[in-house]
Amino acid sequence: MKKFLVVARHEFSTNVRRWEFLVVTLGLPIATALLILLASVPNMMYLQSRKHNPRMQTVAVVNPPAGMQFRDVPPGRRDLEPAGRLEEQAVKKLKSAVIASGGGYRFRVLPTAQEAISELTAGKVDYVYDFAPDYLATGTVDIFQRQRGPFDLAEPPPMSSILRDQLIGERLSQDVRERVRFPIEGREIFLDKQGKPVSDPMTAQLSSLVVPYAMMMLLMMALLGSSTYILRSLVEERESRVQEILLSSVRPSDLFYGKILGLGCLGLFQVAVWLALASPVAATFVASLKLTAGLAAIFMLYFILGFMLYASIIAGIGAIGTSEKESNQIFAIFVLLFSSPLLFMPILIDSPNGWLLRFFSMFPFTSPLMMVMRAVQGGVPTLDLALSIGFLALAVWIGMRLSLRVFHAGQLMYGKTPTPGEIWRALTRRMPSESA
Amino acid sequence: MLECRALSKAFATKTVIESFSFEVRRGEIVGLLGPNGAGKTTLIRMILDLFPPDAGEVLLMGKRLSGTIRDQVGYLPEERGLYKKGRLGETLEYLAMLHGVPRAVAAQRVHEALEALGYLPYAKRRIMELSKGMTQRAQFIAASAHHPVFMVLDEPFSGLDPVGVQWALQTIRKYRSEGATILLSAHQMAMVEKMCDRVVMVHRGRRVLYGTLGEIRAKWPTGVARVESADDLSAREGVRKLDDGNWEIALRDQAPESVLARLIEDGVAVRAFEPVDATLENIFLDVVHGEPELPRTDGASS
Repeated sequence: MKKFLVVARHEFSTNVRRWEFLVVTLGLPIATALLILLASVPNMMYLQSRKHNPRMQTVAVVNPPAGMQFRDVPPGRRDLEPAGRLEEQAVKKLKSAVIASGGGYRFRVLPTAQEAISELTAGKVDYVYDFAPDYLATGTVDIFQRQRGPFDLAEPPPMSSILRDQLIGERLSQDVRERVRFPIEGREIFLDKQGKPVSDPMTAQLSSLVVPYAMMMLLMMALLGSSTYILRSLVEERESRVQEILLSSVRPSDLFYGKILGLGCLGLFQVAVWLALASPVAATFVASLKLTAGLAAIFMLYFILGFMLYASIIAGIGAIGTSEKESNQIFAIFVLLFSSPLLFMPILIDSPNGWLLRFFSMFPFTSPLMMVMRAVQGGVPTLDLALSIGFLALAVWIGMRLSLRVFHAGQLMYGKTPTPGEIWRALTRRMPSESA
Repeated sequence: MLECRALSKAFATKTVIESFSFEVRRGEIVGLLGPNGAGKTTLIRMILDLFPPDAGEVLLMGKRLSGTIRDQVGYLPEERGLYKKGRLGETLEYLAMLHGVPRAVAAQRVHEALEALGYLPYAKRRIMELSKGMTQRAQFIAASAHHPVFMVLDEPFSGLDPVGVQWALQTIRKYRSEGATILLSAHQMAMVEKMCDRVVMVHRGRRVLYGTLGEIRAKWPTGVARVESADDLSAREGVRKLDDGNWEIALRDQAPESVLARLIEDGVAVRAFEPVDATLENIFLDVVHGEPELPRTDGASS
């Protein structure tokens, strides 16, 4: 067996049996599931109770125009929505879903605004609509309500619809009345770049955001998992003073690549376990994204190359840091670099083929994230893709070689952090024999 | 077996090893001597290809160190270390496999070695749970489980109790009887005298002694004289107290007769006076303290 494979196998098999690994790998999803379950039970109970006992809001009306009548609105009357009906508006759908379990209105006509307001402050009514004497000419209505919390999703009463219906009365034909109430019976049709209707535009839009985010999260989880194990392994070897034996037995490159492979696989294995445990949710999500084979290939390629680039940096940093904590602090700089394009997200979404996104999708430290984002949106020129992969592969090659030198120099320093000068010498001096 | 040709190494502006040459012949045990900071560890690391030399070359079995040759080298470093959290058996198997030993063979050899030491019940224990003595012995297994033909043992007796030292001596002799060639770095001069066929000494990065013990003694002009006297001689130059009434005087190129005459002349009540050959320790101390001027031993017996 090749020696780097012996190292990789040892690193994987030793660490996969550690209780810390088992606790994090199995304990984290179980704890998360339990937390979600614990949180969802009271939420479900609340929603159920709201379904059976829908919330009724009380609306006080003061000085209503003559002849106006305000009948109570029972829960679930969606035909009274003031914004009209627009089937494809996801936001509206979402809003409707949230309030579907509530939402009825009880009206009370009160003689004075003062009395209505005192009832409002006493919590006996939820809204006060105080009509001006010249309402019919000006439309002026003072609407009073209590301050609400940011999470209070209760909708105001559909007063516009109620008033509109009564103002029109029987003066117009049924059709016109219907059009006045709902001027647009909307149907939104989204077209792709070829002009073809997109069957599920919301999913397409969401996937352009979610896929890169999911990619970033997966890569981050795999990297952070692996980096922890790589750093721990290096620190342990340093503390155990076993490096000299290792380096007298194998070439530094065997040790370096073996660690990256073994502990990298461990990080990926951990993510795979998490994904497997979350498979019921993940499968639904992936199916809705309609990932093509080409997109999946790009995703995998950038994932692997990105992982190799950052893992090599971790190994180099781990060799020069005096402790796991110190190495993690240095690595945090690269994590920031990796996720830095997210700071420009509004610009990137607004101009997906702009120079900023093109730059980030070419720059090796950010391309694993940003080229995937571009690829999801489609229309990436082949030359861009080839250049991006080429730059990333070159960065992996350079990163591996430089990190190997730092790794080798750091391995024999026994806990002393090398100075910048020593790191520079390590990068530039001749390595020991690398012959097989 | 091992040829070091004009090795030089400097760190920043400090020269640690300067044009250092020596060889270890097949089947020999060669002692590598030198005070702390003389450059022994750097020399060993260059031999093991942990550091590249700035100049010169290291040849093992006539070739530069490479994968297959590296597999035939066993190393017991001064900085002892095994994975503290690792299990004893697995760790030793892994270290043997790193030298190209197949897994099954490594497992068998480690099993036999642990059995010989009576450590089989501890094979699945974590190394941090073992005693220091057990860990030291396990380190010898790590250096030898792949059956190396050339071994570098750096301070093999350090940290061992007298029983452990005897065990280490026997073990090193066993390695030799099994055909291993050994470069032994140690501070225990008596051990080196007992075990080594030849010695090479490094001081301030330069080779200052090289040859068999007999050759070195023959070339070394100084010896000592053991003096039995009730008088206090401690104030005299070059005198070392051995125990009550027994002293050792460095002769320093002087004839023993003249040293004795001087003592009598000074009124010292000498009960006995016996010139003895310089021990390796005396020679070592003389070299380290620079007394007398170092004799040239260029390639004395190579």
